[in-house]
Amino acid sequence: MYKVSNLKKSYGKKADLVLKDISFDINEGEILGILGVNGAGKTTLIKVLLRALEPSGGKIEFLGCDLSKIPLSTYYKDISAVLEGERNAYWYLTGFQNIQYFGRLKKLRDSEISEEADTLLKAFDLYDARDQTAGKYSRGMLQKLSIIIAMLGDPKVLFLDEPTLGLDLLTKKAVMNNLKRLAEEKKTTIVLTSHELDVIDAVTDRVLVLENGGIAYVGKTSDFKQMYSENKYKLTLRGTVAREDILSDEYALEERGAATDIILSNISNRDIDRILTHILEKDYEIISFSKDSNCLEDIMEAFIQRGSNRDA
Amino acid sequence: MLRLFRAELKKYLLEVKTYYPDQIVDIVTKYILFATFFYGFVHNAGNATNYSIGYMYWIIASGIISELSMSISFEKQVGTIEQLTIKPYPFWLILTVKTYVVLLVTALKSLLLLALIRVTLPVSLAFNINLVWILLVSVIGFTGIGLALSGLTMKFAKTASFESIISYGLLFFSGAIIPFDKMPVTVQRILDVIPFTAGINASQQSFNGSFHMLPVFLWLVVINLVCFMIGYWIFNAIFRNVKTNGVLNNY
Repeated sequence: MYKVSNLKKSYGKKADLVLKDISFDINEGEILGILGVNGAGKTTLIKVLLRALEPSGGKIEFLGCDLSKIPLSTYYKDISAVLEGERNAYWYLTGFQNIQYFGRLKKLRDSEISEEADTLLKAFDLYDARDQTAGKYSRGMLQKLSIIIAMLGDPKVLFLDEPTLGLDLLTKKAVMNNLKRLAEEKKTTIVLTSHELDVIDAVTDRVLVLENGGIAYVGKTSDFKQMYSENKYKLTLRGTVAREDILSDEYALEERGAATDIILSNISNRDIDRILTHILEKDYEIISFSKDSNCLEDIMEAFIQRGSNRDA
Repeated sequence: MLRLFRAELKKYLLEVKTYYPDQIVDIVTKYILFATFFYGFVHNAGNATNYSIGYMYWIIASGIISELSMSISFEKQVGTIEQLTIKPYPFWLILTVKTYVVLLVTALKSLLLLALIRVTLPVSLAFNINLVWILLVSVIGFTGIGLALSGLTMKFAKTASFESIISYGLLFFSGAIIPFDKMPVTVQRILDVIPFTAGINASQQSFNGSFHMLPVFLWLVVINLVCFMIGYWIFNAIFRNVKTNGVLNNY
């Protein structure tokens, strides 16, 4: 769908590059998550792809055509966006009136808008609040309304910048489920940024990790988890455990009632053998021993840590 | 285009309905202002028609110019501006249609008020059909000036704060305060090529009977189109610049 080659972006001729010569593809119908710490260039990248910002160099192809040559009127029929920190609805209009207004700006007929609005309002559990003014909506409701507006007219690509920021768990789940359904049923390509790694973990097919404006990783989310997950085990022993009995100060010890959890992170198989042998020699009773599954948050933490070690 | 106009008209009517006290205040204020102008000022002046035309042009021109830059300023403040720039309709067109919708509603309100003034006060209001097309052509030029200013507001949000200076500056050149023939000759020649004063001149001529339709029409079309093209070019150049520097949302 997109082919990005040697993309550069700086805010002004003398300013530092925010995006440094990056190249990647976005496939049709996939959900791509863009990850990175604050200031890594995530929002800039989305806005450049959205053509809300002009790139400073490089080339972007959209469906095989040079993006800069595609008329904006054509391009904006195919894509939609919910931008973080923006208000994507007018507060004095009701939810439905907002949908109608933005639908008309997308050149949709009123009958099409009403039909789509009903389906989407129900899917996002906002149907009963359709005639309330947006000013009375909670943050979660406003965010759902923004996503509904962005989904109008079945865009080929949907850009979402922090779509679940500040949402409660239930609303977040509803948003995530609807995004997955949209990608599956309508083959919509979704590009999203999020600091909430559980969202990225749950919905994305691939991730692109930005680090200081460059690409640190791009590939399948599952591969990223596999590649950067730590060798981490959880050992639970009965009773209190003396630190010297686990042969290292590095591992976390946590007492909880009659048992103690020991988190053996970043540990080699040889060290596991050594510690287990020692523990058994000391007559500790092992309640459980399991490989701790890494969540994406841990993986990102490890990834960033390795990055800073690399830089040092 | 018609769909965009309908979208903006419906949205504006909802806005009017929501903030109806503002509308009531606006109507009452305009009635007092119109009554003072037409009954008090114009009634006692020598050439009432010329003053009325100048005043009417000033209201329309300052309305278009201020609405275009205030729209940008408003969308920046509420945070919806970026959404409007990523729609299939060009951003300048959305802003222009928004402005025309406000202008249309304001014009309807003004016509009703003028009718009310005619009924309630001993004032005779002259009308000439040529006024309609001269005004419509002039609106093109006013839009150009408005687009240039709204472009500046896009980059420097505070530009909108200076809009009233430009509006009241226009009042000075409307002929409603100082008749054109009392101004220095050099100023008169400059004013001949400004759409605002050229429209007023043409309208006044149509009342005075010194009106040659074709040359006046062609001259008005040319200067208004040139003015529009310059404004359109300035707006788009600034829009590109703002997209390069990423300052669209700055307020």
